[in-house]
Amino acid sequence: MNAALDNILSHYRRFAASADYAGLPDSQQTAAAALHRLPLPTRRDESWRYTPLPAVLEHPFQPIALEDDLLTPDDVEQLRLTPADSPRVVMLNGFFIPELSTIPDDGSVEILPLNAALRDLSSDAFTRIGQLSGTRQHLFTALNTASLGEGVYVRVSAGTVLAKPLEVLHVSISFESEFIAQPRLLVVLEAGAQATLVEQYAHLSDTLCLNNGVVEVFLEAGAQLSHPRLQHESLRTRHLSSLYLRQAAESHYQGTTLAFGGAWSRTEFHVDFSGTGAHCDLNGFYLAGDKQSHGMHVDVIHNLPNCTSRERFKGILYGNSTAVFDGNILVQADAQKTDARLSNDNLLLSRDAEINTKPRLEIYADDVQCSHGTTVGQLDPEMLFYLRARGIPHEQAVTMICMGFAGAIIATCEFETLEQCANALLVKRLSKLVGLSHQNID
Amino acid sequence: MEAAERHLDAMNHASYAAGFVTEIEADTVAPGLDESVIRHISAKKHEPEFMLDWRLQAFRQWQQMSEPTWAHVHYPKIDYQAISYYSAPKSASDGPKSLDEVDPELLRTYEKLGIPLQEQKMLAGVAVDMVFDSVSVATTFRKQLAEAGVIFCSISEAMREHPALVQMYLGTVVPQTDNYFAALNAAVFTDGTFVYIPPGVRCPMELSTYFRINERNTGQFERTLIIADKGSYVSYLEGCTAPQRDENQLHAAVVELIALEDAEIKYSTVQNWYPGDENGKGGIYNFVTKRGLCAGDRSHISWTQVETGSAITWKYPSCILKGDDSVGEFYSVAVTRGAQQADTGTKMYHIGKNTRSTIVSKGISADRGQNAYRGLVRMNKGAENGRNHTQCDSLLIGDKCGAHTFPYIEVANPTAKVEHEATTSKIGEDQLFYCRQRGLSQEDAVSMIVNGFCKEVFKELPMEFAVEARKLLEISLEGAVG
Repeated sequence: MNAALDNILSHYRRFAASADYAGLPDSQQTAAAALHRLPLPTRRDESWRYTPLPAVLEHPFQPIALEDDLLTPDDVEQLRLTPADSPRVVMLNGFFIPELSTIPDDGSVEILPLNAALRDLSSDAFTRIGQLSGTRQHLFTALNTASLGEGVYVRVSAGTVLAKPLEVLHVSISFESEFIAQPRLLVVLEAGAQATLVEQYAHLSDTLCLNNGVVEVFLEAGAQLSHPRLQHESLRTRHLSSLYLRQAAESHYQGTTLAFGGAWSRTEFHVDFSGTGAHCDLNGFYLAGDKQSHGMHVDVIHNLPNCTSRERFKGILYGNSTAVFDGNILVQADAQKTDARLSNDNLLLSRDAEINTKPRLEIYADDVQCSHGTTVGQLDPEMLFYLRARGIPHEQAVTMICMGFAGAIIATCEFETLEQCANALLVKRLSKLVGLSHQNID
Repeated sequence: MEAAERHLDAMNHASYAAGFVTEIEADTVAPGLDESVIRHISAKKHEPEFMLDWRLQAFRQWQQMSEPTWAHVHYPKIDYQAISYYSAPKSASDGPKSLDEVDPELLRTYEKLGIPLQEQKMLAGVAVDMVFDSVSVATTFRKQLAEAGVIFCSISEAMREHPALVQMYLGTVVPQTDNYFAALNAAVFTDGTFVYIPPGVRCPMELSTYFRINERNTGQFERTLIIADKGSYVSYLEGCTAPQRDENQLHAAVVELIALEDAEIKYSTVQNWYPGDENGKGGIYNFVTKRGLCAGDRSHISWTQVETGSAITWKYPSCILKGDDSVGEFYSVAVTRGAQQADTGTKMYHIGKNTRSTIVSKGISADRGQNAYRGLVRMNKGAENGRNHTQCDSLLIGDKCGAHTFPYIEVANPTAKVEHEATTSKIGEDQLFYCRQRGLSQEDAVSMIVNGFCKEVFKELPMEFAVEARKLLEISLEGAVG
């Protein structure tokens, strides 16, 4: 294995060895054991085929301890996307910071540090943790699960409709660079509960860290969750986050992930169903600029009848960047009446950008409607001509077309402040690249 | 639905129409594979020295390789030492010069398959180079072709008569060690077809080869090499059908196409090897490597395939679009029923400028059939204005079958345009209802809808094949839907 990773692994193996197993959830014990067994993913693994790991492994990322004085209430104020009095969870380098978080005491939502929630062996958190992430785990998810405890447990009780959006703010900041952050989130929406969960990965200093996050979401019967996520980490960061979602009958999930940051990023989505009639809406957008590498990995398992899903992903690539879209919809034999649509559209703005896309369908039931579509292309010269003929300068025309292209996904966030923030990021990044694309198009 | 079950039942027990074994004395080597077997094959075929070295090189590499497992197919492990690697009909040793010298037993076999060889001469435009087991036994219309300067013969003959051509092109598109099965083929291939079309010649007729697998427990390793020189055109038809038997049979063929400047090759296949019984027992394993190289500018290679047979199909006819403005096409209909499994598709490598490719793949799964499309479209950095359109549709008939799509799209050039579309559904109730309402029987309605579904591919087939393919599809899906 790799020397840099060995460093991290040996740390967690020691950690796992010293831990009191009796009190640990099964999933954590399994994951700790798996650290010895699981190989480092390589490009021979189908799901890592286009993911270059050297970007991660060339740095000796160190596990770090909590330094809570790094972050101030002003920083949170500056970064927040939800109203000041909204419930808010602040995570610093993967550690939950209750002092900076806003935890409502009206009983609408339960927010607990994960280690406190896991103390009770009969608790909801204890039985659920790792239930989803344990099934399709690779070395990195196992690493996160093995080092549980510093994350957060969020539960919205049955029938509760959260009036205000709940924000989870992940901040990475350090003066000593090259560290690994392992945020962990366990979210449970009980039957009939409704909530908006705004997730943001931000940075305050130009950190060089490896973010290895895992989010597990359980939607019980009839629950509804809107889940916009914005990832704008530092351009040196290596960002890996895995979302695991299980939906019960008639539940509704609407999620949008916008990836802007990170030198290397990989976002995984794993969805399955525990009841019929559920709907899942997954949207994603990635903007890959100079030397960035983005990956979106979608793995939706339709294991029960009458569920529907929509997966829409778009990407804009420029400079010397690469992006991967790897989507798989699996419809199992019993999942009749499934309706699933997968699409991936890409805009290549420069000569050196490369996109690898792999939208797969695996279907074992006959009464289904499934489709997937992919496109890769450059800016349509006719569109550009149309705009320029109307007196719009080239730069502005390019930006307008790109904004329109990305806008369709950004709008699915249905969360205004986040959309504004994303659009601003997009404009800022696009303004830098138009000179470059100018040469290509004319 | 009751009617459906009845049909399904009837179909499941319908025996394989082309299933019979011809009794012919064969010269077969004992099962097993080592260097001596390869030397034996090479010597038997009176091959030039370079061929033996080439084969041995492939064999040594093959020993280092492991069988691929990435395909979406499952089968018991193949014992390569239990296969006999050479079998030639006895009658071939005398080398029949005309139809009259061909073993009448053989001729009767072909008659059963509906290829009345006696009538071939009258059937204008089709020359048949038959491969019975592993040796060509009859070639017709040789003279006519020779007048046009076309070389159309068995590959072993080509090695003796035109060694320079063979040495120049053999293995240039599919290298000896390209993959596990291609390496095995390179080591042990017994025969196949060689075609050379000289510059500026439009081949006067459609060339056709019928393959038969016959001898029990004999692997069939064919090698086809087609070279279309500058500005030439050839259409090549390949059709397969095989007798019923119990043992699984391995078929690992290699087909190489080379199109030079302005040349066009059209390669059509109807594949109907024995698919095995309802549990998949006894069917053919069809592990084929087919690849075409558009070497020259403005060259054109087109693959059309109708795959209804074999227990397992593992086949990706591909195009390397190296010449500027070259065109690659892939049209496919793959049907799986019973316990058949197919993992098929194509690769389009765009290297040259303004290269275009089209992929149309139609998969039909019935009963417990598993049908996968696996395709790669690669736009290299230099593939300026490269263009690809891919359409793959799957039709599901029955609730135990599977249809899978695994497209890989790699684009490294911003001026390239790639589109991929795929849909999966069953036959629409509304479509069926519409047809039934107008007095069509359920069977006819299904057949009509399925034929419509495959139309885009069938229209690419040469006339004779299109008729055969439509009929084959009808027989294949008989009673699959109620």
